[in-house]
Amino acid sequence: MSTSSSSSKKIVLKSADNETFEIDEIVALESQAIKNMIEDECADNVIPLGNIDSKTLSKIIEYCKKHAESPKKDDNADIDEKAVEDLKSFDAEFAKVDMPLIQDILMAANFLNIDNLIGLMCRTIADRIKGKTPEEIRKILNINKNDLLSPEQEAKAREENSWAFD
Amino acid sequence: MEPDDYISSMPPDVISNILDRLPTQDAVRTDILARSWRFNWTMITQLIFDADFFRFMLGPDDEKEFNGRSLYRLLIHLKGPITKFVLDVNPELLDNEDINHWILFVSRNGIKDLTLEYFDRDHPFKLPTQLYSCMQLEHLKLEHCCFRHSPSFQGFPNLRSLDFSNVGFQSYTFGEFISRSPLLEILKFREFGRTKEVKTDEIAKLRNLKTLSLSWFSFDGQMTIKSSSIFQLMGLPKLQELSFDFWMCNLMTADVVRKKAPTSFNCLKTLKLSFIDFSDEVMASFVFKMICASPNLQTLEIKACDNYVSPETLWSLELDPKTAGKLLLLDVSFTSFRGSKNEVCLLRHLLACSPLLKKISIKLELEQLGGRDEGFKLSKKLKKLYRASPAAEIYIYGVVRVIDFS
Repeated sequence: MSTSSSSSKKIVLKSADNETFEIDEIVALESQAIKNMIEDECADNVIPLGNIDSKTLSKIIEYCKKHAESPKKDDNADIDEKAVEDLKSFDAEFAKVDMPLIQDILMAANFLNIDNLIGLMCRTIADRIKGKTPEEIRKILNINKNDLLSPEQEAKAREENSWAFD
Repeated sequence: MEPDDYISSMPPDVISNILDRLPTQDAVRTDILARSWRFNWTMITQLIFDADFFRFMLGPDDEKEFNGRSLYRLLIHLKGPITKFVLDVNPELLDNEDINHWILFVSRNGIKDLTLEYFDRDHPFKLPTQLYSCMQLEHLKLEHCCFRHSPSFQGFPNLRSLDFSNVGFQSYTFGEFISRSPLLEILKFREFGRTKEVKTDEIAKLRNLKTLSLSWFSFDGQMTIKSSSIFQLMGLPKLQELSFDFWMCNLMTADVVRKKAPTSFNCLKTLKLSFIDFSDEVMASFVFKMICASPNLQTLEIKACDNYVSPETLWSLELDPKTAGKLLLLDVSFTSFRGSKNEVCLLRHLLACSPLLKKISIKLELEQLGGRDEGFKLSKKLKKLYRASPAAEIYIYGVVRVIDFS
């Protein structure tokens, strides 16, 4: 734990597999849901997150830490171009994970209401399926064979929006 | 059975968030991925019919038949509000009735961000008056369009950014239009030499403006801009980025003594001046005045005129010891540089007065200079100029290759 942050207020998060994470309040405030809990004073010492496992939670904390440390875009403050670039490359690295973890992070980010992280994950998924064939997308998204349309249904669906398929 | 792909179990707003980041045709094509994916695309909140979209619709060699009506099926299916709509339209592909149809549809569906770029400069598209009811509009970009007369028009009170290129008004003025959008932060206006719509005193009332870009394209060389009107913008308290294009325009000096208090662009960080005729004394000294009036300027971009109209009038720039060494410039770029005395004079001043300068790039106009050898001579001369910032890197392009003289 760095000395600079040792004096600030701490928040403890508990994952589904009972691992605890002590973080600075400022990091926790990246989550709109936790922010609301703190403001409404319904956050105890420990906030249990029963639907987020420790692997996902530690990734999310890594993201929030980085974003909490970065200067925010503000009306009067100068936007430091280097800081913006730095954050961009952090995000790009952060998103280089497999689809199951992206799914977990996205679900958790949605639950915790971390807007930037939801956007980053959605953009990552969109980029992975953009311009791909239906077969390729099914593989990327792990679509179940039992969920496929019958050939007749598919032909009808293609017909309905033929402009998008031709 | 329960679908177990990575997305289907997500809440609808997350799924639409993903689909909104795809080109419209890609989003629609997810319809056939699986049973659980059918009609997910109908939740999209953005319709982007831009150049990429029409390239897709027409095929790489324009070989496909395009029928605007085939897109109408979308309208039947779309569920939610459409907050963003982009239409870059060639009137040969989509007739005005079709365009009206789309604008009508989005104006009833919560549009916040609208772009309509119409390709026919000579016959601007007359906007349907239904658009005037879109009070929630925040971003509006129009090209070659015309606002019809409508007594009921109340303006767009929530606009944050406005980008107009050759946009006309049948009844009221541009000033009346923007006076109803007090929250504007970004304003870009290009006009093409017929009537002069823009009045800077009206823009100067937009207290929230951060970025302003004004372009005047005068095809007959008859348009005259008063520099006093430009200095009226000094009163804007939040202005950070300012750019002017003077295409074949004349600039007239400030003949009126300014009465107002502000004498500088205090927050200005970026200044871009294009089509500057350095052979014209008024314009050359205007550039200098703008720089001196912007004490916090960091980025400066200058593009000289391609063709100087008159023979060079020498402009006697006196280095003011009060301002010398006071510029905070970090980055300067100068394009279409021809080495005229006024240009060199300005450059000498910038180099001598900018102790923080990191980079300056100069693009030489070789043809105008009289060839490669002349270019070399000029670049030699330029690199000898005194630099207040020893760390400043000078890049000179257009000679043979990129040369770093630092």
